[in-house]
Amino acid sequence: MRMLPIFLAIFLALASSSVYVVNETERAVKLKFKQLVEADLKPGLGFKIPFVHEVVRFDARNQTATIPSQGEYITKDQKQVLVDSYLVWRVSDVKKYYTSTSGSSDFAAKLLISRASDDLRTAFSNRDLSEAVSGERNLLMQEVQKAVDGMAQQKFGINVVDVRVKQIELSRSVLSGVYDRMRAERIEEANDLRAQGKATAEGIEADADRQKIVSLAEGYNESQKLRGEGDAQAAQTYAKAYGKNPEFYEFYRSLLAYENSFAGQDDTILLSPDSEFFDYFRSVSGKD
Amino acid sequence: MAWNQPGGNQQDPWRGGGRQQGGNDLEDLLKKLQAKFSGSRGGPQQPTSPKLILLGIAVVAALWLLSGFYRVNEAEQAVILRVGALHKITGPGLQWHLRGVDKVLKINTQLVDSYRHKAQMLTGDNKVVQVAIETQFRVDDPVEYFLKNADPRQALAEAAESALRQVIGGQDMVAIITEARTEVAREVTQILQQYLNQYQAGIEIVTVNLEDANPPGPVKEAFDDVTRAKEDQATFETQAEAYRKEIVAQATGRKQRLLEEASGDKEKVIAEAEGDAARFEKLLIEYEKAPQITRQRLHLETMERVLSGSNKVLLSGDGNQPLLYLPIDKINSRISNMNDSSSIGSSTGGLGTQSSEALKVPTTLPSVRNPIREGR
Repeated sequence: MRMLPIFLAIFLALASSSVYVVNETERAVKLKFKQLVEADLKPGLGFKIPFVHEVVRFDARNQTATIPSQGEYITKDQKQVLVDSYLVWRVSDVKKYYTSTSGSSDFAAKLLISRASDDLRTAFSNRDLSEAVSGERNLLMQEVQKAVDGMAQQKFGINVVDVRVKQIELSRSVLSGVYDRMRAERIEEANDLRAQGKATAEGIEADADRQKIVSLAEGYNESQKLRGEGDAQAAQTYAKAYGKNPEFYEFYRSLLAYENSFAGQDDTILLSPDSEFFDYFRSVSGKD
Repeated sequence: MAWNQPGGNQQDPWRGGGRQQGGNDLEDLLKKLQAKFSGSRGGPQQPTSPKLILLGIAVVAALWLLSGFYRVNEAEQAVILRVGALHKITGPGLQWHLRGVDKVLKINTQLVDSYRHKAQMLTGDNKVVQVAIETQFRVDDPVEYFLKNADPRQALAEAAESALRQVIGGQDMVAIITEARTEVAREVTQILQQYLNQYQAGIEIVTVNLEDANPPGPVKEAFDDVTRAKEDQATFETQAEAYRKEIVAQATGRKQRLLEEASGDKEKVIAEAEGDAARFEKLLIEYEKAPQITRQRLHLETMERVLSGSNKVLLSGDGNQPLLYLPIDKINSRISNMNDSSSIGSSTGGLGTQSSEALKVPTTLPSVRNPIREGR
């Protein structure tokens, strides 16, 4: 009876070491005397022989690893860039993964990062900057992902789900060139806008001046027509009246003309006493 | 595994593996059981019956079962792992699990969370733009969210940055800061969702807001100047339009004035013609009654009026002297100083009115000043 708790404790210890649990997030291998006997154990509860079997578990979830920029990459058009990227990986072949990395995820990540970094460097050196940034960005990433994934699957039992470029940072000298170009373009645009504004304004003002000239000319045209009508009508009136006695009209009109012509007080008239007007000035009879 | 039989038999195929999983609850239970055993043995011959022991075990088991209840809030979902393996997903309400064996992972699947990111990045036309986005997301698949990724939020952050930079890298700089903003946000949403689906992150992107898209600091001034230039352009045009309105209105006014004046002239000429004609016709009637007399009278009266209003120089001669010197300017000045006393009377004025007949006569004669003034 005394020994019962001890037996019980031993029994429990044995019992507990003869079961194992694999979580849903994990993959596991079973070793027999450190030798792999069963790969990829199912999630849940399992049994093993204590001291003989050993179960090693790995995190099987997607791991995100940041790839820091490792020195400047040089693009095909000789531009220096710093590139930040990341990769997503997970264990695909548990057996291979265990044998090649001893199950250390840090070790695996380091290997992957180093490889991806090299591949990225190569990929950038094969492309111009603009291709890497926009045109072939996806292609570049796919290329690197495929290369790294192929290597990782084969050697480490790791599936590289994705490699993505995040930041492509220009070196300072390139960046200042970009700024200069941007500035120059904006200045050109601003100048262009102002010039366009002035041109349009000039056009509008010229149009206004033209309208003014045309308007005044039309006014002149119509006013002269009016005056012509007036003159015509006046001429008609005159002709009708004066036509009744042209000889008298001539006389009458001459007198009017003399009077109007000499209307000013400042006129000086030189007269000959011989003129008809002075007939009686010279003699009573009016004859010489 | 004897220790678990009393409780487990009735309820559930509960296997001992839960110990590794469960931890404290089970250990407590064990301790209690051991205490019972030792108590039954260790005490000085206490009357402990097996029934009592069973009762104690039953009570403990009942308590343990009751402790398995848990609540899932509205908007939450819970993922239940049984000894590590995925067991089921439960919705809101009062739920029950095997304490120590099942693991309950709860998450709100309706709560919208957000992730902000701001950075300077390269555009498709090799320029640089300053962009800030807010990514709003929610967990839409708890199983994926909990089980497929070591750190779904880090995955989201990395993927969001990559997606944003990729989209910005495919657009022109000016478009990004102007009309393509919504397009950028839409594309980022799409690409980001695609990435997250690929990673089985269990996250749904609700929306991506492009909060800020500006030219970077060193070139901001140049961009601002473009804005000002646009305003200048508009100002120039507006001013020109104002000028046009003013000038055209003035011209219209001038034209109107010309027409009015011409119209006035026309009326005037016609009216004068009619007046003149009427006067002539009236006179003609009388003239025809006594032509000779009227003719003489008109002539004399006219000459009288003409001569009375002018300065006169009367010249007479026989034609011997070929040249007459007639200092009109002196005459004018003298006249302006005094009145008579000179043989030659004259007044200011030009020569424009001399008669050719008078000039031909080259003799000096005493001139008479205003000879007919009294005659009127």
